[in-house]
Amino acid sequence: MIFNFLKNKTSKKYPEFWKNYISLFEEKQNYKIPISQTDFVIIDVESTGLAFKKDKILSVGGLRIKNNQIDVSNTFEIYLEQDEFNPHAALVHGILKKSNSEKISEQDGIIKFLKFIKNDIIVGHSISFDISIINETINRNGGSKLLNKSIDTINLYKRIKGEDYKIDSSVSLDTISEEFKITKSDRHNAAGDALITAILFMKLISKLKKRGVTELESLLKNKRTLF
Amino acid sequence: MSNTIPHRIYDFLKEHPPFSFISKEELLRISKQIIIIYSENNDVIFHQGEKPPSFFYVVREGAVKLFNEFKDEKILIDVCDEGDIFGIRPLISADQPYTLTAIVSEEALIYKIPAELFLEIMKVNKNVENYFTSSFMGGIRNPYSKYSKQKVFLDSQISINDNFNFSEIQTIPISSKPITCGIETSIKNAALIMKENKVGSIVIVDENQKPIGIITDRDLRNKVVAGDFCSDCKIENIMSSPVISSDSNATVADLQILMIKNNIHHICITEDGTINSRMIGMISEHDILVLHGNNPSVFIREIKRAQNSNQLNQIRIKTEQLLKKYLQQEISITYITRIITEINNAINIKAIELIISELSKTGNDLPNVKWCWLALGSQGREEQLLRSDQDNALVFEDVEKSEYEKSKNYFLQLAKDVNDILKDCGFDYCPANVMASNPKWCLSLNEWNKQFENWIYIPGNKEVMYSTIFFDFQPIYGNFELAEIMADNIYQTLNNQESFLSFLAKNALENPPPLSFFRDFMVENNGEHKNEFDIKARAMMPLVDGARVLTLSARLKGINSTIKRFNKLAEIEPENKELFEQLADAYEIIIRFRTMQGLKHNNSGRYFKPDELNKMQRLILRNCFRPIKELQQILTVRFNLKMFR
Repeated sequence: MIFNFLKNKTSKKYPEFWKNYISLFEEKQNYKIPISQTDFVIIDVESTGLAFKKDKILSVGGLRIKNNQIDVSNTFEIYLEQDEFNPHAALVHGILKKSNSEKISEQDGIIKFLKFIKNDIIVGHSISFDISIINETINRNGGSKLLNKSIDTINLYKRIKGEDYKIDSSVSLDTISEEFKITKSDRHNAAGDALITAILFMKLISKLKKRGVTELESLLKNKRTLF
Repeated sequence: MSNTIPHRIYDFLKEHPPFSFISKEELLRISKQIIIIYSENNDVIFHQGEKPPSFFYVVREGAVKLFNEFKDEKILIDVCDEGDIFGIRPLISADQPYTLTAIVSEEALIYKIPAELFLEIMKVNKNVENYFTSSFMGGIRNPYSKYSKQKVFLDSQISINDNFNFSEIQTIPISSKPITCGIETSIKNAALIMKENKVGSIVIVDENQKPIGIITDRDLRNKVVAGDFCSDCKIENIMSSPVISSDSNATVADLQILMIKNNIHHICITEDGTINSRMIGMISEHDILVLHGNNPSVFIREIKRAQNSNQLNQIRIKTEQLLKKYLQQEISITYITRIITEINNAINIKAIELIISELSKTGNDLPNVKWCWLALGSQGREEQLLRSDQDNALVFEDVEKSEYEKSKNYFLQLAKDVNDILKDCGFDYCPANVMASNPKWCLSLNEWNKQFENWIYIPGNKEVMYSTIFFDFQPIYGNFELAEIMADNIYQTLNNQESFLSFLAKNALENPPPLSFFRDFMVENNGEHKNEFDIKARAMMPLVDGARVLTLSARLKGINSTIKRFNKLAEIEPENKELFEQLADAYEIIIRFRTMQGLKHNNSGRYFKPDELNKMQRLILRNCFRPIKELQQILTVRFNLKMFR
């Protein structure tokens, strides 16, 4: 089924980068592998606002985890040129319209991003927003929706905490970091937040491991959604 | 691509040596190549004996413990926390296996740093190189071996130090066939066998080659030539029996102790070490002497032969040199203290004997009452290494009123003269006058018992202080039974007045351990030793006092040394085994450290300036202080000390 779906998609007139990306998914993914052997990409997006339909991505940070290790030489951090500028959001993320960071075009950013994440499992805190705004951006640049499986650290956190946490859906990264004693610096910088999320993720999967969650499949099983 | 994550790593590393010596540009280059690992409790980072990979580690968060493993034992060598480097084997020699095992003890984030990159920097950066040479090269994160428990060192099978030349812990090669004869042999024939084989002793064995007795040149001289037996008599008449035996695994140290304890010069080596198995060899004191020149049993013999305090002093000076040699050779503190205690006690005994004979020459004869010379304080605990102040006391049996005055006067005179000899031998007078020559501490048995009862029933500050000195008494000379009765009385009184132990326990909390030692030294604020660290008050006393009160509380009689006390406590309290073992280790390390300082500066070693220590020495000490805090917590809970505050 997946194969047919892919076939239809690839037959459309997609740009080269998108074709390359979706070709990674042609082979059926195996989720019955130990968590320790899985490649995870932890990402964080900073944007002009929280309305993913109209707001724009300013920066993306990412890193990879396999077997509880982060290779710093293979991390990801980009800043995008955007015409929109929201002074309120700038107060949060600190990215000014004309800042010192080297900026690249949205399309270049998306190409780099897709090359970085490959077909790995995406992990993030409140990941559905990040994925939505990325999908929106990809769409604008000729592609479609991300095909990667994703994991939300909020859901993992809730899974550890039990049912009581089901209703209150907005657990901030700050709150959890404090609870898990993760040193915070560079907050609201995409790469910095991605690093905090990565450490949080490692702590969460270590806790889940003690409850018998050792396979990727059971890690992905969580049906609870954020919104 | 921007650099938020490498920058964050850079920000951390730049605060910690040796990274702090590296330029920003280079350190950022390193930061970009790092691997961050997350590890849970009990995760093993590497195993002893493994070949190191091409990187080393820095703790970012959490803690990692380094152990030396031998057989089933794991000995804690160090705890690394934030900013500490470990597993630096690859920097020194990638081919050599790890000498320690690293296990995460607190959920940790650890940076893996590529060794190659770092080595490049080390080549051009003198500061970094110096840092490593001064603090690590000594023993590859086992520079602690210098100060740490000897066991660590021995059990690692000589891999750490090739110049392994201390003989005391070696076993003696038993090469020559023992010279033996049967029980029916005549004295003359035995002497002929000895002559033929050019040996000074012969072992009498039964038909199964089990040793039943021994004769030596000395026996022939004393019992035959100048004695009551003819040379045709049976050997049975003059042999010493049973023989003292040991097995072939005994070390020189074991054999020496055996000789000193039994006052003998020959030990039979048998198959299983008992006299009920076949004889396989013979070790004489001479064999041991050949093995190493300067030798404690020789000292003991010289002490016994000494005629005056000057000779005793000479031997004590030589003992100090021996002590220095032992420490340099990193011989076990347990062994060293045993030897030094034996020598010190022998000097005490000789001093007493000399004075008794002096006094009798002037018509002042030893009264016909039982009495006993007692060592107190560190000598009483059998842990005196350097010549510190003397602490001693005297007890004599209860005598008729009419006899009392005369006896006491004699013992006071004796004690005064003995104190003088000990002073001549470098043991200063006790500044608080806790000496047997003080009428307060030269008492009859009944008076001592009353004294102890008073301290225990009405404990004020002074009483508790005296208790800490006097409770560690050890009989040295005379009638040991008196000391036994005193000890029994103390335990009996404690049974009626358990609350006294709370006062002792509280006293053990008087000196909080210097936990912040590593970064900020706790030094004296004023006085002669301003800005110096007082290792006696801040590290030794909490351990000594804590061990004593716990031992008393557990009614462990006759265990006087702090190390033995903790080891015994570890045995009887399995739930606190690890802590008590750590405390025993800590005490050993601290006593070694202090003695080294003392020998280096020719003083008591009690105070030192923190800047004199290198990072390693600080680390070693810091690790010793950690369990002290836990010990004090145990005391607080066990003796319900919250109410005292």
